[in-house]
Amino acid sequence: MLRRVGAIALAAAVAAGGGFGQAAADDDTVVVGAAIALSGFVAPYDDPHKGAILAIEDVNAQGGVLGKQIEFVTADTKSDPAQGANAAIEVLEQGAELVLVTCDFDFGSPAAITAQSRGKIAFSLCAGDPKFGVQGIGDLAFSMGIGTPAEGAIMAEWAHAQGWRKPFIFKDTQVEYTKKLADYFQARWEDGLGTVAGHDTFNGQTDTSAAGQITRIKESDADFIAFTGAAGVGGAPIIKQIRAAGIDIPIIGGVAVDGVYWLDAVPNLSEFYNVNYSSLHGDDPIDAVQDFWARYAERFGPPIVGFSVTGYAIIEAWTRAVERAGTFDAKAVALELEKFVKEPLLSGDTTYTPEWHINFDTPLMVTQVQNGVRSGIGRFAASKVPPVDF
Amino acid sequence: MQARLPSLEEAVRGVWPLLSLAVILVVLVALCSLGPVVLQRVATDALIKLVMVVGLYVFVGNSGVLSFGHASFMMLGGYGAAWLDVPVRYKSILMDELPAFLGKAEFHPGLAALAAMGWAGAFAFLIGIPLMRLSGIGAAIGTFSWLTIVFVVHAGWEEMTGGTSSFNGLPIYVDLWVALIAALFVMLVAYVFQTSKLGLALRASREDEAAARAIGVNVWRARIASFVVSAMLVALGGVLQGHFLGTVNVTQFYIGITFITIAMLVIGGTGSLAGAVIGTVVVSVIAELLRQLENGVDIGALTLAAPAGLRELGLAGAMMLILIFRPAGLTGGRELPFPAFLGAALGLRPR
Repeated sequence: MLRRVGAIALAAAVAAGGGFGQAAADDDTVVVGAAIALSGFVAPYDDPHKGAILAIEDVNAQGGVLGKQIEFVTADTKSDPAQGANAAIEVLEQGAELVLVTCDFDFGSPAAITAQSRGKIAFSLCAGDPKFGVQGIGDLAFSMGIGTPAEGAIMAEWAHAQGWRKPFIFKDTQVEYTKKLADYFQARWEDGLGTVAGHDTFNGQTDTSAAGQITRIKESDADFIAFTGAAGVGGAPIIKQIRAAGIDIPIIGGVAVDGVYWLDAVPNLSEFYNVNYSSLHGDDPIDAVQDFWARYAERFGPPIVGFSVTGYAIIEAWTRAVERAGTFDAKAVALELEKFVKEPLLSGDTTYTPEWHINFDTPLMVTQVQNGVRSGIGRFAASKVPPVDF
Repeated sequence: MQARLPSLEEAVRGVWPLLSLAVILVVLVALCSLGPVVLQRVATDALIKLVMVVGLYVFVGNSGVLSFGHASFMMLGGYGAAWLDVPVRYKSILMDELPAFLGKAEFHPGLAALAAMGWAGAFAFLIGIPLMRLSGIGAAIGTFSWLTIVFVVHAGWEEMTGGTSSFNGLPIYVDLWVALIAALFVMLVAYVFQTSKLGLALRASREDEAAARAIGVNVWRARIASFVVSAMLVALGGVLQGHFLGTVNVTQFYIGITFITIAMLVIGGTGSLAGAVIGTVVVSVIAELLRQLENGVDIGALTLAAPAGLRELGLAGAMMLILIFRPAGLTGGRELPFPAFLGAALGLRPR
């Protein structure tokens, strides 16, 4: 018995050792790694890594960065934060100079901490929590996402511009992003836009029914709902229940309810709005974005979420910072990134500072769903962003 | 009766169950340390699980009472240590509502780990007073309810824990060797406990509670003692996990880890230390092999890659097969036998 177990374990250890024989980058290439969710429920939110692949192809076609071709490697976190740290090590061991991590502070942190501890830049595809940066991880951590204070403010200001006056704030408590988005929406709304008709919470990871909360929405005199859930992680069934209860007032959500992959779950959805980084529906006014989506469709099939442009933007940002620094050294590249002032990137004009490694002034695209069909409305920036509150 | 020193045979046979497991573990870890960094991390992760599973075994294995609540002690350990050893520069920004004696202070990680174990042990003692009167399904549900309480309090008490957000900034000091030392320490404690008077009394109650009571065993007291020791060891697992990843998060210490640790123990065999250790090693190895298969295996010019999700499916299937063919776990609840050739070499007479 013992001998058998021992033999199996030994064989396994040897086999595992053999599996990682890949050589690190040679002199003509530089490695960019992605420690992201390729499987599991977070995977739709990490779709932007395909944007990074397209950007890398462009950079390589134009001669690479500092004369080196970029080689892209990935490792799956399986939507498990703990596995994220291992995934980061896996790509770092292959020589990654830049590590792309999951589009969320809570899910991306372990991988980012690992990259930071090894002195490499960690770039979150689109984390919105302002903790993703110097304060929460370290000086080498950046996010291509827009900070939740700005995202919440854009939602509030755009809704107000539509003549909507009484929001019911429906807060998802599952992760920091979904909670804080509701708080910042409320902070911006109560800062001169009006009063709140009511609020309630649910947890997208654990709640399958929101019957009680929906009764409260009905009893309130709200004329729209600010919804901070994530469509792919429990949000879609809740939206369906809201509509099934006969509540047809407009719903406005954040980036996490973007995409077309969940619309089948809520047939004939109407009066649904959300903010995002681009419109993938063929109506984005920016030509470069239109080109991006055409190439994306050709390469990967029909696009699923509009925020995949952030992956492209990360490669743009990093290669520019590397060229300006004249080196791949992470500290030098981070210093160049911190000098970005309204740097034009595919996901919008991006500003970083030594304090904030996340955007606050990028305008966002508002998209709508009417009769189950999505379309873009236009880009919108916030005139006033609430202060960050950790 | 006159006290006498144990004979060589008694001494060797007495420490054999622990010694044999320790040697196997050290050899495996030494082999892994020669491998690539990724393998070392996988092994470190497995050793941390081993700390948790052996900790769980100290209670479940000796008492025969199932606990679904031990992840709560990992949480108490992980957060307890984080409050003490996260650098002030993190706490002052991210956790600015912590009480001053925690927020403005920074303790040595070793001290923090000890304090966190004590913190979890204190809760185990308090909650054990009522819970240890239960057994069977009642104890399982009672401990699970305790886990839920600890989870909700940690997830909801924003000022102390940051709520559901990750609590970052934990000094990363856990590597393969630290995890190995912790695992050996936990195994030593578990073995000393199970061979102590209290441990033997508890094991007697596991086999027949009424008979154990009849010979004067205070079952309740023995269970509380093992529950507290078990909670402290499991808490050490939580501390290690946090200081391996550099972050703690409430969802890390909830349903997922509860079931994987119980599965490891049940697959190895709940009744013996060997079961806890071998179950952890076997499940970790199967999980890692399946993960590698998902990533793709190069055979010549061909890359064979299994579909994503195979790990979960394969692991569940393997567990089911093991339990169908060995319902009492791989070890059947026995410690590793003392091999005859070793006895002969030491000049001991065979039994």
